[in-house]
Amino acid sequence: MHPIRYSPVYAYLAAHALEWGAAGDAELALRLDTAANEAAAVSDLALCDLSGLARFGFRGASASEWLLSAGVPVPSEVFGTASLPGHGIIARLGTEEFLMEEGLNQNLVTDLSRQLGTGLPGVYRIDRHDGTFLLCGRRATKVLAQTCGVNFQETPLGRVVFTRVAAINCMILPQRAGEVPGYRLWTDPSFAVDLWQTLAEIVGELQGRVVGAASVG
Amino acid sequence: MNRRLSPRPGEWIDRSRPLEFHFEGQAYSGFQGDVLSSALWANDVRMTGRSFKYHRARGPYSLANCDVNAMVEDGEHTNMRGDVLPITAGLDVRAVNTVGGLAADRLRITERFSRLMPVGFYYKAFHTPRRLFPVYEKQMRKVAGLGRINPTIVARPTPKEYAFCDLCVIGAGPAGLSGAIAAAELGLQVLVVEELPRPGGSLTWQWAGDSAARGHLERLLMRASSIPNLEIRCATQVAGCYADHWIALVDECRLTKLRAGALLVAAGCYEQPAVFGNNDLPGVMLASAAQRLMHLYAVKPFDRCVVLAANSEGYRVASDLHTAGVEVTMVVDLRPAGETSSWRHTVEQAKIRILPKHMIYEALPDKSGTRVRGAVVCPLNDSGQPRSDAGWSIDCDGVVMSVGWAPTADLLYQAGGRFRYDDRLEQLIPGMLPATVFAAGRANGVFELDDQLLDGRRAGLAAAARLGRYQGALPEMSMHRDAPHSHPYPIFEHARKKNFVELDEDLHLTDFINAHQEGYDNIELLKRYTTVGMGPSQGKLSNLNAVRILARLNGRTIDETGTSTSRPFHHPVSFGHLAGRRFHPTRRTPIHDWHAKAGAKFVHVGAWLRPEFYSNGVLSREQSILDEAQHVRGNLGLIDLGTLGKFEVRGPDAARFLDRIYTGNFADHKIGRIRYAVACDESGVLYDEGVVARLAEDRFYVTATTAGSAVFYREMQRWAMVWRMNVTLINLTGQFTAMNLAGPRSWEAFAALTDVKLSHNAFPFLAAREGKVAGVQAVLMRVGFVGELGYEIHVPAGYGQHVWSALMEAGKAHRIRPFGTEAQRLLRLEKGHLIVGQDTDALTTPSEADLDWAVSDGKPFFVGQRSLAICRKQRLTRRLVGIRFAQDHRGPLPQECHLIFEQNEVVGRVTSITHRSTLGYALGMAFLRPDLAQPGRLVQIKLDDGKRVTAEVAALPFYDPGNHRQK
Repeated sequence: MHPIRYSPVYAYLAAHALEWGAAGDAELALRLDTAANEAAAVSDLALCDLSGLARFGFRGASASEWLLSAGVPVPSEVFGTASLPGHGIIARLGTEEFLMEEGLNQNLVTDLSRQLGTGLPGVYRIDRHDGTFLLCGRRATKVLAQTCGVNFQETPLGRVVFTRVAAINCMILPQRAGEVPGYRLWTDPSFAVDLWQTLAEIVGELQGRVVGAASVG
Repeated sequence: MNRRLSPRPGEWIDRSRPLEFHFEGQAYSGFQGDVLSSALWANDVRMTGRSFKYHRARGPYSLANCDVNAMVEDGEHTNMRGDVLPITAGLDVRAVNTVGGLAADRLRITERFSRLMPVGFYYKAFHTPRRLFPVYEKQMRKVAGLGRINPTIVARPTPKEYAFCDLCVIGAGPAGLSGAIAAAELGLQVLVVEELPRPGGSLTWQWAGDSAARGHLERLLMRASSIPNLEIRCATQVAGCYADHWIALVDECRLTKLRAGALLVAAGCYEQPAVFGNNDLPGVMLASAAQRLMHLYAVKPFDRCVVLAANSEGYRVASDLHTAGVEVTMVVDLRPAGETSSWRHTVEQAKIRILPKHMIYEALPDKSGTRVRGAVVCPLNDSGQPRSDAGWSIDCDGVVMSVGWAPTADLLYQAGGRFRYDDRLEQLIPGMLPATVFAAGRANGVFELDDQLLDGRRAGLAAAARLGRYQGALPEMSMHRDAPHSHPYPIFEHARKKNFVELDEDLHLTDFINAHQEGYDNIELLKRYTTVGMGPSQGKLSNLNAVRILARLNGRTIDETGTSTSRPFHHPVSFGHLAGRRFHPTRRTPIHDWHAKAGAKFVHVGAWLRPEFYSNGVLSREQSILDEAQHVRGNLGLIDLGTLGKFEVRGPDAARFLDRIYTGNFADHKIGRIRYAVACDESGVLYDEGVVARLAEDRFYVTATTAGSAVFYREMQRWAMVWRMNVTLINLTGQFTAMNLAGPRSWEAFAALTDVKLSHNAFPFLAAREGKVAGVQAVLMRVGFVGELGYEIHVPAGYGQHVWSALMEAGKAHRIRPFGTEAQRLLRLEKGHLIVGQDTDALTTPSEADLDWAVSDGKPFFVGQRSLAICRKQRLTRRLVGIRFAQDHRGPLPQECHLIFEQNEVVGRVTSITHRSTLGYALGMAFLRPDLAQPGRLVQIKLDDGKRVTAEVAALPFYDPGNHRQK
């Protein structure tokens, strides 16, 4: 039997998605509207579910050593990040703690996850099935301003911030694609539906859109 | 009668956009830009409300958001202030706090009994006899308060917003704008907050008749608009200042939580009233209110009026009124020497009579008691007291007061500032401000326009210097140059008429004198007894006069008397704004949507939503629960355990760590085995329990209770640091999910879905295995919380739905059914398994919970060990036991927490109970005095109605004592 991995907000996406694609053993909602509409929203205000991307974490005294041996760039500072192929991400969450998230149409993280298994001496696996959402567009900070007390005008790009969004613990990575700001949020899967509903509601009130992963790839 | 003036420069109304609105059921017209009070006044409607206690007629008084005399409701919103409520097409409002309408308010009769209702009368009158208090209370609740809340209105969520700036400037008047520009020009991110719909502050009303002042305003606004890092937010109130410059901003739509690096308060002053007879009549108003009517709304305030003055502003307003076509009969000046500035000459040129060393003794009402028809003017003697015998009356329809100012001190107080009284200014000014808080303008006692502009710039530069953006010299602080702008005591007794100090709460001068005589001689005590400053305007027009009165009664200075504490909110804030959008996160398991489709009725367990039971729409809740439980006993059930605390403990010291965390022995825990685990705190109190599965030499998988998992994880983290052990804790509570396949047919259903061998020898009771379930890597545990053969399956959350569906599919042939938390609760109760937090409390030790078997005495240390050793030396006072009721029991049964009695002594309490079980009788668990805890003993349990019911102490477990079924 082939296992299927579901996004925490699968029910919402199943009711709205027009086009699906695979991300390893997960289904990824690729489009919820026309490409043109989604493209316009992405530069203005859009919310996208990326929970289907594979990810895992690990920590332990030998964590960075293992990464180096695997040829993966190691962010030099705690809370720093580095890019992986296909907009994948590696984030350093502690001195010897990391989170890796797969890029679209990539296998690097999946392969490394398989290699690590339940762990190696000095490297302990941390399963991560977070709700992962991308809030993007010029007005993305308007949504964050209603839900989060962090001043994102002053947070540097590429450094993760641990905070609360809509009273839910989150990790946020401020990014930028060209001139368009984006904020990738990770949250515990049990809180993901609540967070998604809140963000989607505010995005809707501000005339933004929920878009598919194909539009933010 | 239309009182609208011809168009004036700077007016806020848009004459091209007339509007119709309704007040008290009557249609009126106004213009876009009008507020309710101005539009009504333009229609010559002077009475806008009734007073709080005596239901006296009241009208616009300040037009500065302090007018509790003009509060209205529209059926949805209540207590809206007419002096700041913009009129809109179709607006339909009524005055609050009336019975029978504003004009015919039946409660105005209360004034006839005012002698029976001195301040504090309710403290004395209604507490005896006690039996009558409910009657009093009912009547008081009917008449007390202001507007009424409409409970049928569904609240609209208002979003909250976070905002940030380097410098927050409160007030967009000349000083505020000047300071904001100075700071913004140095690169600071500046946010100016103005409560009025347009910027300009006093430039828009007080100085509006001055073309040079209008030029200042235009230049300031033009410069401000050209600076990208300067934002002006109008129609936004500062509701409060909190620690670290957390400033609450309230606009029509939302509450904004602003975090500022520094704060500049340039919010000006509130004009203060004089206290004389009938000083609350509609038509008696502050000079600034008259100027706002004229300059902002182009409304002629009166036809003929008297100005009571004690400062140059009084002369300025007399001139403004004259220019607007009002016949100013005279300027009555409280000061012996009168005005010394050039304004005196201006007034004299307008042929307005000036009477120094005089006062207005009382305002005279017309027959209806709702309008001014005249005023009694009398001279003052050398000690400043009115010579009422020498007074005379004059006809007028308005009395204008211009006797002094009080700084908008609330926000500075809240920001940590302190004020002192300046005798030269006769005004409170900042005495001490925190390093990042600044004041400018009138609050500093700076009244001249040029000085205000300079003072604002000085404060803006000082803020920039403090924030590291300015190193230059700071301009000197502007000094006050002329006569005081406030009278030291504009308060006069009247032999017969009420002379109000506080309009919010209907407090007149006598109330303060009486309170002082009763011993309330401290400002805080006086405030609480009289309730001065506790009404909707929060004493903005009364606190200073109250302090002046108390100071005089005590024979002390203002500084010696002090001022009362100022707390948020500065203006009232609606509950909707405070509530904001609902942020009460709920946790859901990955299988939540499946449960919902299957008819689950959810229950909150901590932050989680769990299926309580599944409804088929036919059976009752109780029947459904029993049905699910019986199905598990006879067939096969599946329950979602995703809410359990789930942790990995890894590392070389993992076993040693758990050995210290739990009461049991884990150092010799075998790989592939499970142990029940009890955790105590340092006082020996049982606070969590679960199972521990050893998956490898250095790897344990640990579960904890749903409600207690966060605390347990936090405690593990704390101890890991304290003990400095080489251990890694991984919280998988949300990242993993779990389910329990339970029932005699679970083996048959499960075998086809997993690669783990399930035979008794290969996977015995209390064993743990890792393997695949429906293709997903899982941790499997043979445990029996419900007392049947069962498999607890733990998988990563993302695969939870897949595995659950696969199990339901595989179980179809075995009549699988989901079961909820209530059925599980029943089944575990039959097995005598306790639930921490329900069958234990904040003092329960393992001994009391009959869990001594889970405490290892032979190991050197565990958390709580020493306390437990002490407890064991003492006599046990209670023990958790089973209780049951006869199979043929009829009648009511106890509920959880009902007390158990031996004669008249409380000897225990019920902790869990089920009225229907699969065993055919009601059963439960209870704490009981140990000497009564023998099985078979009968005990009496007291019900809510006082009746007692008999239960029998029973040995635990009730079901399958040999544990044959779960093995």
